[in-house]
Order: sequence, then C-alpha cells, then structure tokens
Amino acid sequence: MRFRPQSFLTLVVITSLGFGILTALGWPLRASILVLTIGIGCWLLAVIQLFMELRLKHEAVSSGMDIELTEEQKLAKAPLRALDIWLWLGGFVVGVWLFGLYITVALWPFLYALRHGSRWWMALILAVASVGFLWGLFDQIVHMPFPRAVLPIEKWLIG
Amino acid sequence: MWEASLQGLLMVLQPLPMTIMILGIVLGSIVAILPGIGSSALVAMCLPFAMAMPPTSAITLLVSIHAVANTASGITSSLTGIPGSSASTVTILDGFPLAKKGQGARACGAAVWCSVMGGVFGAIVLTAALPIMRPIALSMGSPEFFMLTLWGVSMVAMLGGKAKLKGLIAAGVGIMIMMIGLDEKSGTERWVFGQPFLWDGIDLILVTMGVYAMPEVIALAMSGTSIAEAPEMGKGMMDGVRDCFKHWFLIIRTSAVGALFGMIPGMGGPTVSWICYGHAVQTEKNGNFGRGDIRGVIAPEAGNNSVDAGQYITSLGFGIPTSTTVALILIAFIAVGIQPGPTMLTTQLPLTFSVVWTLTIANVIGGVGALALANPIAKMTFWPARVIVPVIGVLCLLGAYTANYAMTDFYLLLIFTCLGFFMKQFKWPRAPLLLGLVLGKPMEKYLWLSSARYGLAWMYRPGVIILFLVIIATAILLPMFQARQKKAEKKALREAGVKEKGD
Repeated sequence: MRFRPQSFLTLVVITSLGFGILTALGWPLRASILVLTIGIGCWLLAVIQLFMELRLKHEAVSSGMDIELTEEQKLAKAPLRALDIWLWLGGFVVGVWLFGLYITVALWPFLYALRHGSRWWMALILAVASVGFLWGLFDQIVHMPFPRAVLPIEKWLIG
Repeated sequence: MWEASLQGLLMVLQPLPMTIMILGIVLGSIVAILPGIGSSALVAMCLPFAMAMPPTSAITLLVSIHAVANTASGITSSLTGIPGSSASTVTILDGFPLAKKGQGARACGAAVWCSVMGGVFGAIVLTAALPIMRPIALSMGSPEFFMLTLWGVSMVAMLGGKAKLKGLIAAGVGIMIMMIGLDEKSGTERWVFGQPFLWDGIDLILVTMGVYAMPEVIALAMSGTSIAEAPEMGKGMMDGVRDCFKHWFLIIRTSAVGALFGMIPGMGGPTVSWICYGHAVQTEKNGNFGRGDIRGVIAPEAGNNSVDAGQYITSLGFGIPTSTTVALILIAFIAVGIQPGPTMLTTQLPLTFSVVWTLTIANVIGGVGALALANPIAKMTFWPARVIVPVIGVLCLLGAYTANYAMTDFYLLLIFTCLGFFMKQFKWPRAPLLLGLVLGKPMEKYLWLSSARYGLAWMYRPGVIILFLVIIATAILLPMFQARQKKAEKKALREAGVKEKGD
C-alpha cells in the first residue's frame, strides 16, 4: 500500500461526506431522506475508491470524460506558475475587500498583463475595457450593488 | 387551427411587434454571450416595459429574449470554457477542446445552428402538441417525474468514462452540494453553519464557474499559451453548420427529448442538456466525446433550445410555470390581459400561435445574427495567455458575483475553484458533479412528493415501471452490449492482424 497525492482528494471527500451524514442523522426524515440515501452510498464508494488507490502498483491513468489537461502543466515550472495564478486570484478577492470592485477590476488585469510581458498600452486597454464592462453592464444596466471597501479610496476617487 | 395559426403569424409580422422582437433578439443574444447573466434577469428588467405594451408586442419582446437565451451562449462556452448560460455548461465538454484544436469557429457554427434547428423543431412540437397536451401532462405525476430525474442521473455511467467509480462519487457529491441551504419542506438548516448567505443554497453558476471555468483559467496561466493550441483557425464556421445537417437525426432526437423534458416543471435547460449529451454518448458510434467531438456540441445545444417550446406547452396550457423565466413571462402575460390556461387553446388560440411564431422567427433571426458574429469572436482563442487570462479571469469573477451580489460569492468561487483544480489535477471527472448539482433539487422534490402522496405504491405505477425498464435498458444493458460489441470488434481486428492504436 502506498499513499499517493491523488488519494488526498479522496480522503477529503470521505471526510466531508462522513461529516455530512453524521449531521444529517439529527434532521427530520423529510430533510434527510435523500441526503442519507445518496450520502451513505457515496461514502462507501469513496472508501472503495481509496482502497483501490492505495493498492494500485502504478499511478492510475484512467480519467473520466473531461477537458484534456494542457501538456505544459507537466513542465517543471508548472507548480510555480500555479502558485502565481492562485496568488493573483486571491489578490483579486483581497483587492475587492480592501479597495472595492472598481479599483480592483481596473488594477487586476492591468498589473497581470504588465507582469506577464504585455506592453503597457495593451495592459491599459484591458483595464479600461474591464472597467467599461463593469460600469456599463453591471452598474448602468443591471444596477448591481457593489461591496463596500474597507479603505475609502474608491469613495474619495469617484465621490 | 390553420386559421388561428395564420392569424398568429399576421399578429407577429406587424411593424411594432417585429421591431420589438428584433430588440428582444439583440438584447437576448448579448446576455446569452455574457457569462453569469441569465435570461431571467433580462426578462425581469424588461417586465415594466412589457406590461405597458399591447399583448402581441409584450409576447414578442419577452418570448424572443427567452428564445435566443441559449442560442448564442454556446459561443462563449466553446471559446472560453465559461458557460454563457447554465444550459450551455455541457457544451464546454467538447466545444472547448475543439477550440483548443483551433476549430473554435466550427464549434460556434455548430452550436448556433443546431440551436436554431432545435428551437424550430421545438416550435413544431409545440404546434403538434397543442391538441394533445392535456392528456400527456395529466398522465404524469411526481413518481414519473422522479423516474425521469433518475434517468438523468443514470447518465453518470456514460459521463464517468473510464473512471466510473469516481464519476458516481462526483455525482453524489454534486447532489449533496445542492442540498446545502434551508430545506423548503421542513425548514431545516442543512450545512449552513449559521451563515445566512447559505440559506438559499449555492448558486449553480458559482459551482460551474469554480469547477469548470476557473481551473481552465489556471491551466491557461500555467501553460502560458493561447486557448487554441493549433496555429490556425482550421475548419470554419460553415463547416459547423454543415455538421448540423450531417447529424440531423441526432438533432431531431435531442430536440424531441428537450421538448418533452421542457414540459416538466423544474427540468429546465441545464438538466436537458446533460440528458441530451448522455444520449449522444450512449447512441452515437465512434465517439471521441470529451475530447472535441462535434456531436458533443450539437446534442446539448439542440436540446437546450427546444426546451423553451416544451416549457410553453405546460405554461400556456395549464398556467403552471416551468422555470423562473417562464414564470416572469406569465406575470407579464397576466398583466397585459392574457390569462394562461385552457382558454389559450380555445378562444385565445391565435395568441398561442403568436408565441409559437415568435419562437420560430426569433430563433432563425437570432441564429443568423450569432453566426455573423461567431467568426470574429472565435479569433480570441488565438490571443496569448497574458491577454486572455485577465479577460476571462475578470469575466469569471464578475460572473460569479452576479450569483448573490455579495463578497461571499468570491469566497465560494475560490473554494469551488480549489475543488475543480484538484479534480482536474487528479483526473476526477467533473461532468458528473455538475449533473448531480442540476438534478439534486428536482430529484429530492419529486421523491418526497411521491412518498408523501402514494407511500410505497408509487413504485407500482405503470409509468414508473416503464421508465424503470427504460433506465435499465439505457444505463445497464446498452453499455454492456456496446462493451461486448467493442470487444468483438477488437478480437476481429486482432485476428485480422491489425494492431490498434494504443494497444
């Protein structure tokens, strides 16, 4: 038996389903009927899956019907690039929380494009297009409420 | 009936309703291309204007928006991997790999044109169903509807590909995720952890963006290349249109499935798309589904457009709204003096036909317009990652924000992106998870209604038994037969001395 990285996800599924089933035991039947029916069956299948993964001599190669992986992900730089994009995504959320949606939607594509080798004018076009999209569709047409930023920079800039 | 049909056509072809219809088509197509904003939001925004219009103009505005809502959305799904609408999520499975191969224009052409064909076929079904809709709808109850959702779940066997066990688990996880929120039947809080934003459950668009679209953005950023890996555009848009005519029988089948399932309340476009996709995987030979098979684009797109017609059968004939969008349209109808129900089949038959004609005309005009735009939009698949990643990234993040207009949408998006990323990395099929998400709610509702109304006796109803046999035949016997046939073919090839690729 050997624990492989792919078994990590299976373990997460088993733990989450187990927690879900235990919680559902305390609910009335009408709320838990399908949860228990599907959940218990699914939990058992996940345990079988884990055992199969642990007993495999070679890494399983079979996958379901899905979009194919990009070959470049298997390059040595892939983990660093993955970390980079995850930080950018996290940065967007932190940016919205700190500065508000307008500033973040302007800065995020601008800085990303600039950092990854785009010319400044292309980065600027992306920033203007993103803000235009946000303003035109989400603000003027949909009248979407925007989250309040922690720092009042947006209020100071736009008024 | 023919006289009423002609009257309905003449009502639609008047200058004012036609102008308003074109406005509705343009607005509906824009919303269809933009991810995150559904047709229900646009219909809701147009309600105040529609209520002030004459009845025919109100019909043409709202029905045309609804008709084209899934026509152009296949373009976004195929080219960016972001669903233009939730009903076009399935189109990503084969549309996006086609775009990666440099056949984005072909995928768009096929997605748009089969949507047109599906929509027109659906309108024909609606016309044919008008005299017989009452007995059909009355013969089905919640047990039969539950069996239909089970039929949908049985598609997991197909969508799981070689990893069937993982597929089943993923579908179960999808159903469990859909259970999060306040239970409507008992008021029980299910896994809300004291967070009020979870009471309404988790929006489908959030999970779709997180599990499908965002991992693709991450993959693009990691690869540093454009979406299309082939250096040229390859086959053009008209090849996609030709593909539709080549696979006309698949379109007829999936459109019929769409119109039939559309009649069932709660079984909207997303569910039907999955069922149609599963049907194509089950029945089509020599498939390369999930890796860029054009039939994987055609089947769901034809099905999700014919759904609209099916929805109007139930909504107009019985006054029962089958989806949020149709419910909004019915509100407008009532406000302008149209009373949905049996009178729509007697005294108001010309108005019913004006709905049918609007569906037909809007689909054709919307389809031609979308085809004209597909080729220029397809060129974006050749943009470098440093340009396309921020564009798609912002679209995804803002699209997710439309779920509840709250910061929590971003947090949930990141959680589901994490799930989707690891599922992709560890080769878990993501399609069954979304199928579980779509079918979870109607499945639970119909199971509970069946048990509460009939006890265990619901299992012995003739409709349930017939549907059970259909499920056994399509989910168990057909795959077994196909596997056996494949084995025999391999054996024959081996005996003939031909070494198969990959052997």
